[in-house]
Amino acid sequence: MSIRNKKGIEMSFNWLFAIIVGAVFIFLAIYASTSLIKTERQTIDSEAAQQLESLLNPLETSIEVSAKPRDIIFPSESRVLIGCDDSKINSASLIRVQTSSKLGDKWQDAGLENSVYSKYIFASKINQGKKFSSMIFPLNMPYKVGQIVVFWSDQKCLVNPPEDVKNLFGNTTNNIFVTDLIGRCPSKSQIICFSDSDTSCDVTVDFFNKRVRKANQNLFFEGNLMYGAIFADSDIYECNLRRLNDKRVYLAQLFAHKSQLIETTSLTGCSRNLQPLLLNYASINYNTSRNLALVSEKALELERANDPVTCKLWKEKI
Amino acid sequence: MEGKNIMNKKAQLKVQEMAFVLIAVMIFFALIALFYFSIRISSVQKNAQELFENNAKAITLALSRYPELVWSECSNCIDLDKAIVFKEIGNSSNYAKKWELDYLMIERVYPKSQSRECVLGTYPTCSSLTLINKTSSFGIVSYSFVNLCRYDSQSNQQICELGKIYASGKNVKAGKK
Repeated sequence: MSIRNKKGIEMSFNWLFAIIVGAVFIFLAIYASTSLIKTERQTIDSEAAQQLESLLNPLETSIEVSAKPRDIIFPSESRVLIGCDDSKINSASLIRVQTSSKLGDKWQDAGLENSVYSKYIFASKINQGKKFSSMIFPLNMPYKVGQIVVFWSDQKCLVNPPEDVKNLFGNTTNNIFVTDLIGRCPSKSQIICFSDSDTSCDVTVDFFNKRVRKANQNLFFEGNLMYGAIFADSDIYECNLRRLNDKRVYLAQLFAHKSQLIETTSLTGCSRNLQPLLLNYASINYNTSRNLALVSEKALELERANDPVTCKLWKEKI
Repeated sequence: MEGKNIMNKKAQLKVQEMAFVLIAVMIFFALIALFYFSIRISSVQKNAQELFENNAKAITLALSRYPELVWSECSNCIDLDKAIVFKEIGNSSNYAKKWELDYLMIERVYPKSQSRECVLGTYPTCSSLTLINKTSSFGIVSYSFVNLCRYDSQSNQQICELGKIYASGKNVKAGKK
């Protein structure tokens, strides 16, 4: 009886070999397919980050007009991760995309980073949703320095904004709610107060001191930079400001050379008087938004010097 | 004893048979993987090239608004004075990387001018201004019409002429080499 039982559990070498090799094959197949899915998702996310940059291109503004808000809709819930690099060589806004999936982990590692050199993206570090909104503003100091791209996904509630801000956002549905009373703000929206400071305000805009207060930090602004200060995280704002400073300095040098070029063929010398001012303007640097007021003062000086010149070096106004 | 030897040989043969089948299966899967990856890599390269070309197209349309070249009195106008300074002094080659372009050229279309490259010595009686020329094997070149404006100090007025911008996105295959 016992001999028979022993025979019953005997397995031939073929079977053992087939089971072990089969198990290895199945393991390899599962591993390969999960890795492939992961790579595919990363490829899609990397492509999405590139496409997002292309989508922002037609939004470039003309001279003095701000572009209207525009929606960018993703096919599924996604995260757009915004970063900033202010190093001299690779100065860029950084975009990474993470799309959610119903298979496996909902969120996996983001796709490859896309460096956007010609734009200054002011946003939170993590923006999550299906619908994202963006808006572009020109920045003149006193000549055009760059484009301020504000990008957001969460709902914002603007409380008592001035007329021009109200007109800009008032009739849109881009996750922006404009009201006169804090109590009317939708729940879970970020509350941005313009005239009064309340404890329930997430962001407070102080026009008198040209300052935006958020998360116990003060961000100073000039002109359209106010929108950047409202919409961006403080370190993204400061980093983009340093990038804009580098561009401003570079353009001041470019204008000084342009003035020299025109001067060589001009009988009157044209904009010769502006050259020392431009070189002086190029020598001023700022590291934080606290020093922005000084640069703004110099920019106004430069604008006043450029205004009466017949062959103006630039036509933009602050 | 002899029967045992025969059994051993039979088992050895079976093991060898299995091993060969295993090797054949591995080679088969390796070939499939190779085939898949070659298709996938070419598809990713194609997509990347398309994205760079789309970016180049978008840049040709938006370039006239870039602060380095903008002529602020009219839309779609390029400041030619600024462009020549940008090329000669402004280290435009550094921007090749930043704009992700392999080629960027501004051409004067009308009125016709002497067919030569613009440098400080020939400016403004020249026809083309090459700002970026990173490689000889660039991809598809897209173009758009622009106004080329400059200040003419002799007549003491602004002059705007018809021009074209040519741009080509980064060549993915050339970049790989």
